[in-house]
Amino acid sequence: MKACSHISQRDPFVVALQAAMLLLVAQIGFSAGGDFHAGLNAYRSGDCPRAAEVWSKHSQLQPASGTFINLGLAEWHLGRRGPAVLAWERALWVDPFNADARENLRFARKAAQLEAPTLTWFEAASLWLPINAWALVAGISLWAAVAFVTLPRILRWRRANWQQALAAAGFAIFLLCLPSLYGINTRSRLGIVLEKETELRLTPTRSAQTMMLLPAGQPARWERARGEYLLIRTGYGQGWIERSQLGLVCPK
Amino acid sequence: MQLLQSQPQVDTASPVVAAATFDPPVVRPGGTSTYRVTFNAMMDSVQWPEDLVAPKQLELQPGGRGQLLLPAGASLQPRTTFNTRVKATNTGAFTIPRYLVYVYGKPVTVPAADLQVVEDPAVAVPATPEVRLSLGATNVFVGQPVSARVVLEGNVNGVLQALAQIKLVGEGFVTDTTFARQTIQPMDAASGSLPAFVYETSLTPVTAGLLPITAQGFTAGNQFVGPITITGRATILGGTPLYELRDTLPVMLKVRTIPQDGRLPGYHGGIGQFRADSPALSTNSVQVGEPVTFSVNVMGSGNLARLIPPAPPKVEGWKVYAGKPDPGPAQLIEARGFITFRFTLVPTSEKTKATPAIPFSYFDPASERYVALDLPSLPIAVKPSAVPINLDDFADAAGPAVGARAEPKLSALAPGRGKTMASLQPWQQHPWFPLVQLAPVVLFAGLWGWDRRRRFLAANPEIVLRRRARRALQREWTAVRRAASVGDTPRFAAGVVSAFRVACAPHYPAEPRALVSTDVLPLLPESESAMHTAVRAVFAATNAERFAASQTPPADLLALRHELERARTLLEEKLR
Repeated sequence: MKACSHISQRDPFVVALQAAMLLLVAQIGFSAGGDFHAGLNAYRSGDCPRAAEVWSKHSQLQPASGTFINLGLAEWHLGRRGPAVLAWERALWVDPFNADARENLRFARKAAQLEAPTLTWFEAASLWLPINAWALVAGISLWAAVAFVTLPRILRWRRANWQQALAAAGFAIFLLCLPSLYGINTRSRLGIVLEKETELRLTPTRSAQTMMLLPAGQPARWERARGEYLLIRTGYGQGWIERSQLGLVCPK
Repeated sequence: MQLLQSQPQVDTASPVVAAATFDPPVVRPGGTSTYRVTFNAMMDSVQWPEDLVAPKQLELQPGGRGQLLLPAGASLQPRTTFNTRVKATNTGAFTIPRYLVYVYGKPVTVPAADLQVVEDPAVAVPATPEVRLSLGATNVFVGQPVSARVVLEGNVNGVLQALAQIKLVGEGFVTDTTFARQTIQPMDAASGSLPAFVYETSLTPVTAGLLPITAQGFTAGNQFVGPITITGRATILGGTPLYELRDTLPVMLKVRTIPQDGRLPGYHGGIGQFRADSPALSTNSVQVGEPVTFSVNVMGSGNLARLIPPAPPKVEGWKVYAGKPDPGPAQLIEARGFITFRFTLVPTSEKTKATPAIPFSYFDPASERYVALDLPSLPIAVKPSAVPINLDDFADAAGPAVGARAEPKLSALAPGRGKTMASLQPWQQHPWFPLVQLAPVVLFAGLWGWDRRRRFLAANPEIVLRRRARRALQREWTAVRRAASVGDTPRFAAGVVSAFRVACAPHYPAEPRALVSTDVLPLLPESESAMHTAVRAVFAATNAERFAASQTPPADLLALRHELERARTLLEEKLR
């Protein structure tokens, strides 16, 4: 009776908590899915501004490769090349094997005569797996290797050759993952110039000398920030632009 | 390096001297004179002022600027000239005062220059022959070649000099110097027929808009560069040329983009009026798999020398390979007046009776529309191959080349959300990531602790027995309390006995059910006689109930509850 009363006391709380969580998850899932299809309907009815707005909000709620591809298409049809290229770069960031995103970027860069980001070898290697897969593989391989080295001692098992081999393999995989992890970190500093004829300034000031005008969609790497300005490096040179003029592939 | 060392040095060490003159120095009101400043220095080293200080009555307009390297002994002396067009409306004597110009970072004084503006000059000043620029067309399309003609007339005495380093100045076009030619020919002027130096070239606009174009060149006397054709009579004076920079007034060229509407298949940038000669085949009888060359001459006016063969069509029964551009130089093509397209065709079926027609078109700027000039098909006899051939060995000529990537195009809408992420930020940049990496450490530490404890308990089993006994005691005593609360004496007595047995068993060790009251009492303090009595009573009552079924435990056993509770507390403490 006491146990039952204990359960009956906890039950409403637990049930309410579980129900609230389920509702929250369902709401997020339903809202995300609903927004995505609302964007599709708007796009198909020719309302590209509405579609872009919906997919932009949806991508902030839950980044997804399909949402970014569609957002890029809507932005492209609106003539906003910078945001379109940024959306497709983000689609590739989410899913590096997405052929549509890659093809759209090729098309945009050929049509607008834009440069593609120049990737180092470790950045190119980081494209071989999804970005979080590298951290997962590195973590599992490292701790598996540590486990195969330490657990036999801790648990006083008899040492076996297979344990040593697996530990060595784990360490090797971990070491191979390190350049790609570094490549992901450096790739996260890649950005896209959003506005056309963006002034690349010599100094981070409003009255600074303009060194050149960057086209929308031009890739750049941000080096550091100062106030409302970012120091970026592009294929044309290094200079300062306003924060709002650069969209980072991986927003901070 | 040897080649560089063999070149004469450019003299940049000599003191820089500036000279300023008006050409002509005397003009009538409304007339134009050229204010010419010359330095014996490289042009890039001269910091020429944007605005000149001049009398208000003079209207100044920037003119040409150029540099010439003149042989001076064993070295070359640079000569840089800056022209400014000066227009005077009022009569009078005007002076552009001396001023400083920095050359090679050092100040150089430009001397003052005087201009006389008079209604009737006392001494007749001969008019300086002007350089004129004329374009073949002034309203053209992007990519359409335009002929340009630079003319320097001789003076009234028929004395003529050549121009050197002629160039067209402006933005938005490229000059094709491969077609340049220079002639001396008689031209009609107000004073009769005069000889004139004519330089003809071609330019191609590359941007749309209104493009101002000027021409400039240095008077070079009798120093001709390159071949020149002379017709008629002309007097060319000897002596050292003056090398004066002459420039023309700007000519406006209106450039439009080619319309996209009405574009025909086979258009590859041809602009002009073209026609095709009858095509020819290298042979009129081939076997399947045997290549045959299809050639055709295209002639006309426009960008003939820059024409690109049309893309090969995809036709069943034929493999058509991309046409090769005419290997002849542009001058030769322009001179002979036609360009030859050659296509390599390979029949893949003996059923084929004629070569495929090849779509070709050009843009006619006169009618402002695209014109089809398809290359016609020719009859040909195709026989079966004498030897077996694998037609798959032929590359897909009309399609993309092997290894080439298809033209990119925008994808269709993604029907679903595709792969998702919780955040665009990679895991390793999240603050929780290092904490997650501590989890395995905690796990390993836990494993180590558990193993240590397990080994300790294996070495000390009495600890486990006592712990189990303690738990069993607590469980039994709960039942005892429940029985006491409802006045159930038999269950109370049985529960107390069972609890005491499990509490005492680890101390012997023994099976709990084998213990009797005499096993329990030694574990209780001897001084607690009441407690001993209570324990004995409970065991006795239980034994009586067990071995004499008719008897029930006395109800006053419940009164011993306090003593028994104390006994339980003492026994439980012994188990710790």
